[in-house]
Amino acid sequence: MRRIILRFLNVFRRGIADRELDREIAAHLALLEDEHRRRGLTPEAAQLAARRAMGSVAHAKDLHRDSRSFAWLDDLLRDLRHASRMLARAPGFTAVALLTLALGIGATSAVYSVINGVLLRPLPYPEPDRLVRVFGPTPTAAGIDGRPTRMVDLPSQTFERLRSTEGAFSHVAGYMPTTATLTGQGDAVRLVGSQVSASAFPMLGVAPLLGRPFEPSAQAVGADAVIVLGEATWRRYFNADPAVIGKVIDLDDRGRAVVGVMPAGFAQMGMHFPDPQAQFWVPYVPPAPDSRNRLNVAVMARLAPGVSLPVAEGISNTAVSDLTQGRIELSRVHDEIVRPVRPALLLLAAAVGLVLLIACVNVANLLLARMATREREIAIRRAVGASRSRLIRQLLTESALLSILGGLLGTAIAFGGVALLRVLATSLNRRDLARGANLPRLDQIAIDGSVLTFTVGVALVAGLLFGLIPAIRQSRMCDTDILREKHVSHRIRGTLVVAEIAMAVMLLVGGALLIHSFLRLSNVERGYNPTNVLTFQAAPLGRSRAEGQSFADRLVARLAGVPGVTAAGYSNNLPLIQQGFARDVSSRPLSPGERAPRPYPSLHAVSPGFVEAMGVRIAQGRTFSSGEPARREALVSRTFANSGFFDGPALGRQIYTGNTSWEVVGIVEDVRQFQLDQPPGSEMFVVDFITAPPGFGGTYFAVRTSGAPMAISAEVRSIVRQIDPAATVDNIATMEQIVSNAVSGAWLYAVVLGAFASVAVALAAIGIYGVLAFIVTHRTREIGIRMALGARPAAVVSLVVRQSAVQIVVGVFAGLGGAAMLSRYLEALLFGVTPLDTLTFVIAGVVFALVALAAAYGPARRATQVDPLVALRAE
Amino acid sequence: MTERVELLQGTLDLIVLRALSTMGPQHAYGLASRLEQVAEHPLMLNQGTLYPALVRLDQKGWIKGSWQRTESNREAKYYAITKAGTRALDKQAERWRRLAGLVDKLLLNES
Repeated sequence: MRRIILRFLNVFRRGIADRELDREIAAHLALLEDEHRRRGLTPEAAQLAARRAMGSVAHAKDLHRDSRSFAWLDDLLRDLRHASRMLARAPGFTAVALLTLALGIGATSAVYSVINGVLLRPLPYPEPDRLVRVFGPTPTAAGIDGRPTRMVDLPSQTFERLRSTEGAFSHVAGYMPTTATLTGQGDAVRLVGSQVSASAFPMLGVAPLLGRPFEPSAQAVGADAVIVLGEATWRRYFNADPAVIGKVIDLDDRGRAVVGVMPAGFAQMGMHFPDPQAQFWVPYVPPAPDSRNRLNVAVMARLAPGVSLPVAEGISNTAVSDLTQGRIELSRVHDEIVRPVRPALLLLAAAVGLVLLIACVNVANLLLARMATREREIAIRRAVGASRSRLIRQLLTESALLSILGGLLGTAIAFGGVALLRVLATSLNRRDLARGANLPRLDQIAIDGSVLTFTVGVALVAGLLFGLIPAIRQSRMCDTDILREKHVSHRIRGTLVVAEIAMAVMLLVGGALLIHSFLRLSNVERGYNPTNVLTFQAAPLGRSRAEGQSFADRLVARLAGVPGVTAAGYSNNLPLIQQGFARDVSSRPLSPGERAPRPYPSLHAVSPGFVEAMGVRIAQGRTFSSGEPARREALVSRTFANSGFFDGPALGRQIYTGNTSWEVVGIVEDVRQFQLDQPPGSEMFVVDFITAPPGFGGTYFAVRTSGAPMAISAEVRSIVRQIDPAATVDNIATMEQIVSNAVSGAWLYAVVLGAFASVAVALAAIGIYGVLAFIVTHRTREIGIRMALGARPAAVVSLVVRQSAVQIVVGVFAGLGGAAMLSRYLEALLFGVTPLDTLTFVIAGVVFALVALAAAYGPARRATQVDPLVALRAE
Repeated sequence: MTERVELLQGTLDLIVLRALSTMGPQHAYGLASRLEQVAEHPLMLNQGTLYPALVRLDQKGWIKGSWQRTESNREAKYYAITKAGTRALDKQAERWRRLAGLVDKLLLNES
């Protein structure tokens, strides 16, 4: 052990040890000489004899070195020193190679950190693999918007049955989103939270920060006046006061005792329980068994030890077979959380892999070009006895040094990339909006130890990848005719450039498809004008319908008087809000017992001013009349009008429900309610007041302004407070923000893939430039002769450009072919563009060809400036 | 022409230790002369090959070198055996004797 340490230390003390040995050997020789002289030899003969007895001094030194330290380590250090000198001597080459590698490695690390944080890292609960979501049976009838949906919740009776079923689960918990107004802690504020079963807390196995979760006994009417707070809520509204435990706080004008505070990392479940937006948890109280109140509840469970998911699914379905039609499904919670982004992340991984490969090919190319300038050095090394493996080792050390430095720079780029991604991947974070660009578990994405380990691994593999071909080639160099070698080397470089071009074109096509799709999505016909519209939710403390409507009417009247406001109205929802209100309507009065035809249209209950405030476009007919007659009128969307519901023109027809009816006075352009990328459904607008359900909290208001809509938000707040000091205002956003949230996912993918494609194209351009520049340099003499013989500049340019034209054409077509084979994996992310969109392919091919020609033009121009005399004299 | 004896791997270390233990501190030249004397083969080894063995023993802590003056007033690095070296010598010598005895026995039986 001691010896290993000493040997290791000696690697770094070569100078000292060598001097000591020199001194010792000199002394030794002197003694030998003395001895031989004593035996009567002449001084010269004595010196000779002494050296003979000693043997080769150099060999002795070598042996000594091997014994005192590790020879390979010693070599490595020497190679490293040599490599850094070589890199420092060619700053241009080094800068380009390092930048290339840093981009490749940095992008790879950034993408890995996302995949690691979102897909790979387990959820922060004990045995997270046993946590499952329970989905209700897919109803045979289609959902509201005409598409079949998997039910995210179960009827409460089914849930209760599962809870009492033995064998499948160790815990079963139900949860429902809710909101409540907190008063008495400064201004009234609406908090979002969940009603949950008491078993949810032991199911997740996270210890509270303070206090305890509530007991199952709290899940009963009268016993449920308790609450568990989230850490952030406790900090923000209760000053992180530990004495909050046991305190009674006012929620929706009802006292609830705080029993516990959950730690910050507790809520990480995306859209599921406990979701990161939840600020509090209160007991879920099941409806009484004889109640006619049909309540649906989302269900999560923990598999019992030793029970597999299919087995638990079987047990559950047997248990509830008399309650439901169709099968309930189980799915691991982690799978559910990552499901929406998994394809996109895998796509990113593939794209970044291509970028890294291109970077490696590029650096290999640069190294091959440098080989030409180092032939002499290598030849001399061979001549003085360096073995082939020793040479390869030395050249690989240079590559490794490059890749390590590139990896360091790349780590910096990865930090930047992750920071940028956090910005890009954060859109409006609201329960009532679609996910948009929001990545689940975004806070889990970080450059940590595992990412750094990955980066080091990638850097080393990359170093081997781009270093090995040049190293092997170079070490063989002197064996054969240098001229012929050069020719072969051109061919290898040509092949590498073709591969590089093909990969870059593939990425370019992918990026172009996503950008094209984003443009289509942004310009989709929306049916309303989102410019200069402020939207928000507001609710009075009282939750009765009469209180809500009088509050909304007063608020709209006040808003209409604000300077700069041109129209104001309210509605039960806004376009792109993720909730639907369907209404069972028919085109003729129904006889008793008769059911209205499905699918039901989606109902917008609005105030008359809403149509104008939102800028809903009337295609035919007129908008609501003013005053009381408006209550008998309806507007229908174009899709609804043409759906066959009316058999004939819709305008002027009656729509019946229950014992009332509305006359269709206008047909409006389609409003895409849920997602911009889905075909529009049937929509109808009537003048009525329905507030959003408690889980979503508050009526939606829309205010059209003549100037910047956000400018009046302070005024909106103060007007609301004047009308009702305990009323809350939430989710203030311009309609444009809501629309851009809906396209932010597409935007994110387009930006990221577009960035990768740009890097790839830039790298390929550098590759083309490098190869041509090298060829021009080596053919200076030939070009000089041609020009001396009267070749015109145009002929010289075409001579040079022809060199890479073939590579470019082959590369572009190979890339387009590859893209055509692979682009179907993009299909799920595309809107309005097929994976084989001809226009996109043509544009990508042409754009790349132009960039490539621009890259080739530089060296070609340089060739025309060759002075024949100088060129001929040079050799 | 005398036949050259190839030293078995590891025996040089043992021989050096033994020489230092019986003769007291020696410089590399003195050790080389001693070996030639014992072996009666003047060209048994290039004296330079002693150095790897010396550095190995030094690193194991079995010998210790220090610069001193010779009788002829030349400077030389003298190596002395350490306590650990003495213990190691006993152990190695014992091992060697056992190994040599075994080889001897085998060779006798074979012939």
